[in-house]
Amino acid sequence: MMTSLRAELFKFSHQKSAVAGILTLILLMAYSVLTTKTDTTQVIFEFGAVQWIPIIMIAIGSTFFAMEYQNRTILILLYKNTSRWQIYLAKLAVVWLYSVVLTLIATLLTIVFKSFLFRTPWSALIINHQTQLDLLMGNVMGTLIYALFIVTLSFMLIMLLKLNAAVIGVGLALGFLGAGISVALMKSFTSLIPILRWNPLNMIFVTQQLANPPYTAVSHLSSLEIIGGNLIYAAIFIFLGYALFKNRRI
Amino acid sequence: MLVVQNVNTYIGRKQIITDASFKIHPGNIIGLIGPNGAGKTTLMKTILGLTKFDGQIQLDQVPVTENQHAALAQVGALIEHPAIYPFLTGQQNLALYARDSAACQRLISELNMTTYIHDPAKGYSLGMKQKLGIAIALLNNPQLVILDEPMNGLDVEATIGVRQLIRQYAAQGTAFLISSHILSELQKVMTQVILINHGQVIVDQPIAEFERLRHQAYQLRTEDSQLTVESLTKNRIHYVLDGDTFRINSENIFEIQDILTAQHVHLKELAPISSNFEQIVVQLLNQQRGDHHDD
Repeated sequence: MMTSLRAELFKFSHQKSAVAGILTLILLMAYSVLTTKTDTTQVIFEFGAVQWIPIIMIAIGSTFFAMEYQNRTILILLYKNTSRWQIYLAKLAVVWLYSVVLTLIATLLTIVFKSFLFRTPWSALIINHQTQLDLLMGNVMGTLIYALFIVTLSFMLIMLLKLNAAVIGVGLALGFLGAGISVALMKSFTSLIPILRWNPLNMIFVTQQLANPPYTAVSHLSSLEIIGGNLIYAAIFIFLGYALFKNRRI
Repeated sequence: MLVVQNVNTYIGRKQIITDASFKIHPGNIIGLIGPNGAGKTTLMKTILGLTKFDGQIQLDQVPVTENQHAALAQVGALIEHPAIYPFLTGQQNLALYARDSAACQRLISELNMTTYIHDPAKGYSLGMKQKLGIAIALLNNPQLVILDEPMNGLDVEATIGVRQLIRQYAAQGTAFLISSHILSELQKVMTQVILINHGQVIVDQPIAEFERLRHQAYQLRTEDSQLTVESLTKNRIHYVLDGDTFRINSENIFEIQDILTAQHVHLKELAPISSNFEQIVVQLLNQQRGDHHDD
């Protein structure tokens, strides 16, 4: 497994998309700083990074797997390894680690931007007797959990759709419309809320709810439930994605 | 070393390989030939455990299955197109698999890749990519190397270089299974030939035995063609008549001479017809197609 991880890390770090993802995040955060008034909300949502990271991740994740088929390197990868699980999990681990790197960069940039633009101390109480730092950390945790959901989803989608552009399209739709559709569904069919609250589009609220518990009223899931929901969906996506990968013709 | 026994390969529900059996010994250079769609690439992928199959494949008595690839650690392969990461340099592509960096450097210089090996592979020409693909297949002193159309895109010098390298590795015990449409090129290196058609192995012979087929037919002219036709027909001897020249099989030449002598028909010409390698392959394929139709 370590050999596979090292090889995947080597490939990932040499791809332009790895650097492009970081630059895109920095540019989008800078755009947010320049166009929106800096306040507590901006800080705790890391100048929009909480929303951008999942979108970047779905594109990076699917591209990283799709390129093996595109370059025909999947042939060597498969025959040199006995365990297809090992290949799948090593790729998954590397891409999720990348989301950790993106989240760290976003947090560091948030600290830098805040120190220049917004003087309210980190220890200041904001919502529900929580400090700005508590809220930020809640969002960081939520972003990392949702990144796992998104990475496993992007791997499953690239195995299912086999077309990178289609997966990126689904990712963008999920990032921009997912939460709105989920809320609209639950508002339209109130009697079905006990079921609808578990829909995959609702899982995106983990990025906001951990820092801001009142979001429970929107997602209709407790913090523990939404974390569990994200992890269960990630496990389902891993198993389905792997089954598709195992049976994919080369 | 490699034993393929009663292998049937399916893609979806379609059977691509039917009951394939053959052996490859250390140092053998096997030419795998057959028309387009005969199943050459599928057979190679099957040996690499990349397809569903039944039957047995063993490498040094260790089974290879779709889920057991341990025996393939000492196998190198280039299937269809070179498997190269374009965003890595040639050197980095090799480093992903190389276990001995000194041997890797030797291989780079043997294939004359030193001038561009540190450039990103996305800028490589078709021939440069092909050489890198061959280098990846030859890394780590493999026991068996599977090459699908290895001479694709190679210039004359590179073709000669690769041919020499194949012979050099084979002399050290590496076995090769090579498919190519350029039969003349295969002919220069192979020690054994496997001819495949419609997923079935129809010839599996050492090249020396296969070469004997070159003189399998004779041409015959006699002073009385009409009487010759009657005599051959009466004795149920197969022939093809073109003008006044008969094409006969080599195993019948003595019998025919005896029959014609008894009929007092004198021979004007009896000589072997030399077929080249391509003609033999085409004849064998036609023969198999005929057998299929007879069935």
